[in-house]
Amino acid sequence: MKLAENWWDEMRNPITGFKVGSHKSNTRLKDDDFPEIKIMSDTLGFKMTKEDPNQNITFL
Amino acid sequence: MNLLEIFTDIKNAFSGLWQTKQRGNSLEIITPYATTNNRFVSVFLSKQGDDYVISDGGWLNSGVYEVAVGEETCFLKILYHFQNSFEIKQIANAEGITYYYLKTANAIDIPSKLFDLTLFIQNIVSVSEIAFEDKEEKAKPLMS
Repeated sequence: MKLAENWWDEMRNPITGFKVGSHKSNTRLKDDDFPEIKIMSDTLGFKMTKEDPNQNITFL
Repeated sequence: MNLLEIFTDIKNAFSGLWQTKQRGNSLEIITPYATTNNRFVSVFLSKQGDDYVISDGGWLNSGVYEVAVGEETCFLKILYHFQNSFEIKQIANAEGITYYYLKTANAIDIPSKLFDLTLFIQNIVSVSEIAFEDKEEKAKPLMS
């Protein structure tokens, strides 16, 4: 799976020094071969991302 | 890389995917678990009185995951199965949006509850992508 966030592509494994997800099995694949996984709160509008979804509800 | 190094790589890669966002008095926890329509599952952790509540924020029912929770018998059997297995509670807010949640008074139980709710959301969103046979389709006679 290809992740949506750019920062992920630059992450390095502190032990191996390899870029995360840069192992051999990935090198022969194109970006199009991976689906992007979305963080849904990134797709919501400003107001929605400021709201606390659990407010005004009494969880019994 | 030996197998233990590979395992460490897996563990680091997986734990690196967790994210949080402060949402008022709640914390949105973006988990590394993804649905089959490629959405990371988020859960919302808050404190209510002496209890900790972990909810889906009403996202399942309000369509944030871009799937419609079905009403077909097949689907409901699956929903109830997961709901019973993970002992997920539900409540509707003033707008009629159903919230799925778990609560506990012990902070030590939160990781387990969070795991259960996350798996519940992951499964229900993924299953919601399946087109179940509808009544009209079922009523049609077979072609000879």
